Amino acid sequence: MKSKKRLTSYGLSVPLFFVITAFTPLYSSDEADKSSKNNQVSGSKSEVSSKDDVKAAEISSVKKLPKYLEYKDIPESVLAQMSQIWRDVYSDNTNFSIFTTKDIALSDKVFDSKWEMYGSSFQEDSGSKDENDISVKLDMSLLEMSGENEASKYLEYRDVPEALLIQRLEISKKRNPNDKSYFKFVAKDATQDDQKFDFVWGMYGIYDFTFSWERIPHRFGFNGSTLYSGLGGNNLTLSNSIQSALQSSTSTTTVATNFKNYVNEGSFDLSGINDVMLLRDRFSMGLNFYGMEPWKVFVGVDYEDRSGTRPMYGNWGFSNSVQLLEPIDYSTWDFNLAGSYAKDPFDFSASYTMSSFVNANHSLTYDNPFRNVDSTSATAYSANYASGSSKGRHALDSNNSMQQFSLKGGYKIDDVTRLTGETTWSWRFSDIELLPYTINSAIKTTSTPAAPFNASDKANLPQSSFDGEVLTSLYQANVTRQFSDDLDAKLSVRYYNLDDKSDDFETNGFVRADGLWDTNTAEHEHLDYTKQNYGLTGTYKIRPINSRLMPTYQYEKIHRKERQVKNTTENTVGLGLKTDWNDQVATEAGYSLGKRNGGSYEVPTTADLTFLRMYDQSDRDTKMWNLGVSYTPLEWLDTSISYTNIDEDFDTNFGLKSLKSHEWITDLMVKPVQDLSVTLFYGLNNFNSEQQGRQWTPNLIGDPSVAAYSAEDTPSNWTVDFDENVYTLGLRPVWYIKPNSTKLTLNYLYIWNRASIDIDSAVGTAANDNNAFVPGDLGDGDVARRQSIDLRLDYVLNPASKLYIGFSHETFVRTSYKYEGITDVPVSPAGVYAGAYEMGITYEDARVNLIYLGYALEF
Amino acid sequence: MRKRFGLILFVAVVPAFLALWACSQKPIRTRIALPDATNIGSNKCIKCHQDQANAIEKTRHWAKEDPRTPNATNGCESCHGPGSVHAQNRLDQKNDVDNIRFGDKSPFPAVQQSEQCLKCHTGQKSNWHVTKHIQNDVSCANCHKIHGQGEKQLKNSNQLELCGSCHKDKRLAMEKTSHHPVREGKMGCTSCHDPHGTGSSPSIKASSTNDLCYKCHTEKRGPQLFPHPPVAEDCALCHNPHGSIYNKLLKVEPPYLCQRCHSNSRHPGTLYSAKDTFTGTTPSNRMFAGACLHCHQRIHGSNHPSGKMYMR
Repeated sequence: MKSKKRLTSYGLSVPLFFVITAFTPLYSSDEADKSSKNNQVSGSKSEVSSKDDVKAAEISSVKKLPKYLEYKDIPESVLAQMSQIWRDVYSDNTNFSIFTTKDIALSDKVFDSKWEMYGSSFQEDSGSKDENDISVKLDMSLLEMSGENEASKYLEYRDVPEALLIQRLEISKKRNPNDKSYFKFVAKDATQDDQKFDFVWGMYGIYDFTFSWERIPHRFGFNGSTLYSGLGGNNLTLSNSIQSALQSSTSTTTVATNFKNYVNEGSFDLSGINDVMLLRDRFSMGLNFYGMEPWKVFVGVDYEDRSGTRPMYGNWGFSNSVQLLEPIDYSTWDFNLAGSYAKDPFDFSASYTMSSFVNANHSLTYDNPFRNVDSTSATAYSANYASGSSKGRHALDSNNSMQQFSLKGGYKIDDVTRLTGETTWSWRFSDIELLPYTINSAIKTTSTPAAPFNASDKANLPQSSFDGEVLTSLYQANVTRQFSDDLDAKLSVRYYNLDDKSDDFETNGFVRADGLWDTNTAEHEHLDYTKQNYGLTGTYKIRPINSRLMPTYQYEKIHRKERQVKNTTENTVGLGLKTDWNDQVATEAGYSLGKRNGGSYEVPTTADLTFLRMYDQSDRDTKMWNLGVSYTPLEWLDTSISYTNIDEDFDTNFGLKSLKSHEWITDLMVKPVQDLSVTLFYGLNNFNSEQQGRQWTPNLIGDPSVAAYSAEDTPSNWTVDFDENVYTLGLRPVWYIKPNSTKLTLNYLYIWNRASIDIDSAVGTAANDNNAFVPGDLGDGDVARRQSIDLRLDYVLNPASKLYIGFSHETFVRTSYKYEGITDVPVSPAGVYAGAYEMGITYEDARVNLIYLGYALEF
Repeated sequence: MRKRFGLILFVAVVPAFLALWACSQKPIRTRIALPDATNIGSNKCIKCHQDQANAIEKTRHWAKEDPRTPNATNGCESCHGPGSVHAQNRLDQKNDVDNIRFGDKSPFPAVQQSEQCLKCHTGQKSNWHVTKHIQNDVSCANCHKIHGQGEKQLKNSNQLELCGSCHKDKRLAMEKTSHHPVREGKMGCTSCHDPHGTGSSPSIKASSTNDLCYKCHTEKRGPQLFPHPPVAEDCALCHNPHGSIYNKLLKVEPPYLCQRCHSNSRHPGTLYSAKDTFTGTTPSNRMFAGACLHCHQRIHGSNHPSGKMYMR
C-alpha cells in the first residue's frame, strides 16, 4: 500500500520536455549532406567510378519515390538515403502479424533506420575513426508512479522503481577493416531487480568470448501475515504459549476462536510479509572457437543462484494445515562442451553437459500451532488439537546432478535427399540423505497405535540414504527427400527410453503426516517407460490452383512400467491445404484425426475402482480442424481470420472425459494515410472440459462394486463442466507526426477471462447417497481482467539524440473461487475451524499509472 | 486389431516411401542460379542496387574483417549467385532463370533459399530440413533480415511478436494471467524451442518435455524417492507452458485437476462445490486456496520415507 502516490512530478516532467527540446539544436542540412556522403558501402567507395556516379544513383533512387519528395525541407542527399531505406523496407517481406503487422513493422523499421542513419552520420562527423573507435548508446528515463503497484501479477517478473533508470547502455567497438577484434557491452535495466548485462569480445572469424549476468525476480505475493518466526530459514517456530493454549482447546470451535484471537492480537508482528519472492541470478560465460573451419568448438559455464521464499503448506492431517514459506537457496552449475564439423556432404556435432544442483536446505521443520507436546492416536490424522505431533517436517528437493552426451549428424545423400540422426544419453543422479520416518517422538513401540520401532529414530530406516539414478536415451533419424519439383516428404523414426535404475526402497509402513503409524507398505516405483514414434509427412504442390497439400501420418507407442495400462498406441492422420488464390486472398484448412488405444487396465489396489481409467492412459479420440483466410483487398488494408477446433474424448468412466477448445483469432491492419497505421486484433478462446466422479466409501454407500449401489446413475455420481472463455483485444496505432523526427505510438491491450464451473449431482438420501446436498455452481468461478495502455511520443532532437515521453496505465483485477473471502483462520458459519491456516498470500489487484520521460543519445 | 492397424499402415507406408524414392528422378529445381553465369563483383551490383548495398553495409554479413562473410568472399554473389547474365539483362523469365532472391515474394522455393544460407550457417544444417517451418515453405528470410541490422538480424527482436505473427494462438496464450516471463523479455520462444529444428517435437531443445523443463527447474529433476507417475513422465499433463488463466500455469485448479485422475474412493471422489469455498457454508481446505496441496504439497515427488502420498 506504500505506493499510493500522487503524480507529483508530472508538473515537472512535461515542462522539462519542452525546455530540453527548445535548447537542443536541430539537425542541420550541412550535417545531413556529410552524412549522406559517408553512408555508402565501405567496400564500394574506391571502386565506384566517381562520387558523381554515387550522387546520380542517389538522385535516381529518389525519383522512384515521388511520395517522399513531399518533404521539401530535407536536403536532397539525405532524401536519397531515406529513399533507399524506404525502398529497402518495401522490398522486404515482413510477415503479417496480429501484433506487429507488416506496415507497423515497416514503419518502425523506417523510423529506426532513420535513427540509425542519423547516428551513423553523427559518428562519422564527430571525429575520425582512428581517434574514436568506441560507440556508446545510452537510453535513460525518469519514471513516476502512482496507484497500487504492490501486486504480484504486476511486478511478478519485473521491477518498476521510481528512479532514474538506465534502460539500456551499449558500448561497442566500431568496425574497422584493419582490426579484427570487436567487443560489445550491453546493460539493460541496470541497478534494478531485473537487470541484465551482456558482454561479448572476440576476433572476427576466429573466436568470441561471451559473458552475461541476468537477474529475474519472481514475486508470489505481498502483504501476507503469519505467526511464524524464522521466515526464510528451515525451521519455522511459533510461540509455545500459542501451541499450549490451542492444545488445551475443548472443541473445534474453541480452537478456531482461540486461533483467530492470536492472529488478531496486537502482540504479534503481523504487519505483513512483503516480497514473498525468489531471485534468480544467472551468470554464464562461453568461448566459441571457429578459427579452424569447418570445425567449431564451444566451452561454456553457467551458474545460477536462486534465493528467497515461496509459499507452500504443511499439515498434520485432514483438519489442520498451515501455509508456510519454503526457503529457497539453490545453486546450479552447468558445464558445457561441444564440437562440430560441417562440410558437405557431412555435418556432425557432439556435446557434453554436466549439471549439478545443490539445495542448501534439505528439510523444513515447522511448529504445529495446535499442539505443544508430541503424541499419537488412531485419530491423530483427523483431529487437530487432540493428538498429533508438535512439529512437522518436510523433505525438500534433493541435491542432484545430470550428465548428458549427445551426437547429432547429417549426411547429404544427394542434392535432394538428406539423412539426419541423433542419439542422446543422459544420466540423472540424486543422493538423498533420508530423514527419519517422523519428527514425532511419540510414535514408538509403546504408543497407540504402536509402531514397530521408534519412528523418530533414523536408525530404524531400512537404509539411511537413497541413491536415485535415471538413464534416458534417445535415438532418432529422419530422411527428407524432394521427390520432384512438386513433392517432398519426410520419414522419421524416434525412440525414447527412460530407465529408472535407482535403488530399491521398501518399508512395511510409514508415518502419516507425522501423526500415526500406517501399516501400508511404501516403495520406490521404478517408472520406466519407452516412447516410439514413427511419422511420414509430405508436401505436394498443386500448381494449377497454387496450393500445397500436406498429408501427415504419425504413430506413437508408449510402454510404461508400473502404470495401470502397460501399452498405448496412437495413430494420427492429417491433411492440410494451403492455397494462394490470388494476390489478395490466401486460405488454409486442415483436419486431423487421432485414435489412441490403451491395453487392459490393471488395478493396483482394491481401493480403486475396477473400471477407473486415468485419462493419460485411456482410449482417446482426437479431432482437430482449422480454417484460415487472409484478405488484402487494398494496399492499405490487410486482414485475416482463423478458427481452430480441437475435440478430445476419453474413454473413461470417472475422471476427465472430454476436452474441447475453439479459438477465433482475427486481425486487421489499416493504413489510411502514409504516416498513420492502425493494427487491431481480437482473439476468443473457449475451452470446455467435462469430468465425472463418484462419491463413495468402499463397501458402503455408493460403492460401485456393491450391486445395490453400482448403477452408474445413482445419485452419488457427479459431473463438473468447465467453461473457460478468454477474450483478448489489442489496438496499436502508430502515427508519424513528422516522418523524420516525431512518432506517436499507442499500445492498448485488454484481456478478460471467465471460467464458470457447472456442477451436477442428484441429491440423494442418507440411505443411498453420500451426497445429500445441492451442489452449488461456480458461475463466475474465476474472472480476471487486465488492461494496459502505453502512449509514447518519440522526438528525434538531432542526429545523436532523441527524447521520448510516455504515459502508461495497467489494471489487473481478479476474483477467484479459490481465494475470494480469504482469511487467515477459515471457519465455517458455525465457528468450526476449516482446516487451514493461511498467510493470506494471493494475487493482489493492481492499478498503476506511470509517466516517464526518457532521453537516448549515441556517440 | 485397432492396435495392429497402425503397424500395418506403417509397414505399408515405408515401402511406399522407398518405392517412390526409387522411381523418382532427381528433380530439376525450377529456379536456379544461372548455370552459365560468372561472377562480376559487388561493385557492379551496387550500381543498380545501391539501396540494398547501403542496408547491408552495417550488418555482420558485410564485416570484411570476418573472412567468413559474403563481403570477404564473393560479395553479393555469395548469396545471390553469379551475376554476369543478370547484369547483361539476359534473363529468361519465361524459363524462370534468374539470380536467387530471398523473402516471401521470392519466386524461389523456401528450401532453395535456405540452402544458400546453409552454405555458411552450417550449424543449422542437420535439422532445418526436418522442421515444420520448411514444410510450410518458411525460409530463413521469413524471420531474418539478410540486409538488416539487429540481434541475430531478426525482423523483430521481440521473439513473441516475430514468432507470434504465425503462431498466433501461442502469442495470445502468453497474455494470460499465469505465464512464463516471456512478456517481460526474460525468456524468449527460443528459450525452449529451436526454430531451426530439433529431433523433438515441437522443436523443443531437449529429448523430452521434462528434460526441457528441468533445465530451469533443476530442483524438480530428481530422481525422487517417491516420484509422482504423471509428473515423472510429462509436466504438460498438468501445466500449460504457454499460459493459463489459473495459478502456476495449471490447466485447471485443484481439486478438479487432481480429480481428473484421482476419482477413487473417499475424499478423492468427493464432490467439492461452492459450499466448500472460503465464503461457503462448509469451507473446506480441500477446495479453497491450495486445495489438495494443503496436504499433498510435495506433489512433484517426495524424498521423505513417509512421503508415499506426497505429504512430507
